[in-house]
Amino acid sequence: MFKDISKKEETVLKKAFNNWGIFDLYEKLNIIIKPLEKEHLAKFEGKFRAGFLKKVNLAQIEKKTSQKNNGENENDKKNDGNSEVYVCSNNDQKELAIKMQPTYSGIAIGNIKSKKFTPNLNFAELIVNHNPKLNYPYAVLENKASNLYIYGRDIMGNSIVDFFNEIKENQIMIILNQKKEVLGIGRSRFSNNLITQNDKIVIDNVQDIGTYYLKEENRYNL
Amino acid sequence: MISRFLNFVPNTENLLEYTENNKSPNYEYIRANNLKIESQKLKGRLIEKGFRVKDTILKEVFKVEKTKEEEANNTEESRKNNGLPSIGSTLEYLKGYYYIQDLSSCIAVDELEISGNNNSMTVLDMASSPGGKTTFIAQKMNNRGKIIACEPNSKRIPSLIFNLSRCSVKNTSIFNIFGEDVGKLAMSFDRILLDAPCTCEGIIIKDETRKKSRNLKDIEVCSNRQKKLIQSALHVLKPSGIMIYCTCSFAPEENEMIIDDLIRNNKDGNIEIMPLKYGVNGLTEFGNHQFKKDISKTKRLYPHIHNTNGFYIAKLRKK
Repeated sequence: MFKDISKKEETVLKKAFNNWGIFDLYEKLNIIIKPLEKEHLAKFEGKFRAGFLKKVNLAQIEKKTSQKNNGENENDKKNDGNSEVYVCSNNDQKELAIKMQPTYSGIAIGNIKSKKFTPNLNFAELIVNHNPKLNYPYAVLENKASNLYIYGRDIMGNSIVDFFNEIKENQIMIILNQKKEVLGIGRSRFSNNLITQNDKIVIDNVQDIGTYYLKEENRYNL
Repeated sequence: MISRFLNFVPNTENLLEYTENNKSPNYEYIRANNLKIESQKLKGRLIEKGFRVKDTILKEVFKVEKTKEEEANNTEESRKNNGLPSIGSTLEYLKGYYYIQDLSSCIAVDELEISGNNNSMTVLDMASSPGGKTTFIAQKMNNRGKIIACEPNSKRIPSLIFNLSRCSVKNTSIFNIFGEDVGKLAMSFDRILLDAPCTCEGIIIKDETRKKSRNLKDIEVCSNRQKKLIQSALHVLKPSGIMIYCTCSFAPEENEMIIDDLIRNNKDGNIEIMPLKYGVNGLTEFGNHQFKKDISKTKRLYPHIHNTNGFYIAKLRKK
């Protein structure tokens, strides 16, 4: 069920937009929220995230959030505050989505889970289109590695031709080709210059444009 | 069913010959997604990769032809030998820079006369999955205004969402409802696309089973539904609004007869049939039926004449 963004969700999102260097863009977007049902989330986590994202122990989340949830509204309690974030093209569409509750509206840019925003590829596109300074965690791949990456492979250090020089270990980063187009989202295994170590997997593939959309397509079949 | 074509398809023998010789057509149409890339830039990128890309009557649509070698040999094998991916698995495709879509479908959307500068335009797509035409409408609107996309079959909604997301469409809301029930939304629309569910006779080149898998009962079932759909569409079309009715069928019962029936039963007399740019004129008669004069303004597209799917388009304006 689509709803307007709450103060708490707004805080989480503003922080994420700020971290990725696109804080100014936040105010220009028409954002709506779709709380995820527990059941939906469980299937989503179990069926589609296994293998490329760490499985979330729902019981643990439930326990943690029940301890911290004091003061949150009923909807947040029902879904542990886990939500999908959508961007509409204009305010009219946003109001329509909240009033008429279509199956889908706008474009999904990520999830809020346990008070943390997880970006998807549409969010990565927003960053690349609105932050030309490249002052966010990224890695640029050479052509052959790009082709392997978009079909699910992890990234070897010697295939990186450019990268953000303040990369931390275990950090989410945007993977680009040499034309500076988004290929996917990765998670670093090493920090700084260690990211270019030869013959080692240095970045795990979290989402890539080849497999991401198929998963997106399938998850609505749940 | 094929024998019926003799009654209304021009140069039927050419159609049958064309169908026989083009079991695997030597081209595909793609439509550049200008929400993500300029048409000519896309063309340049694909040519650089080795694809043979030709312009068409629409500036956003290109014909991607197979090489002679690919035609002569096993297509997929020779593509791989040339180091070329299939047109549906390039980086550009995954990035949503283009949509593989027949020219006929693009012509239908092009005729909606959508301006990219109008922030308040509301468009209804009455049977939208898998989203080819919806994404083209969004592109024409420059992601402004609103699109309401109806899809009654919940199993087809994932592919619609997939394509909207891949093409970066933001201005669309999907409702899991039958097109006939669109009045329940209590909205009215500046533009309506009714790509009506049909017997799909027009895609016999791509799917030969269509030659035998449809019968007259199917045409009757589709025709009855199409009459209900177009009535529902008319009720929610704003004055001066434009509606495109189209099918990928050759059958007059699903095409001219639907429009003729609509005009004859329209007591308000507030529907005008508008001229279209491409195709051959709609039929003026079929069997014992003599159609209203303006029905000839509707258009038919044929594989053996236009190198497209078989297609029918009618453009209506509410006075």
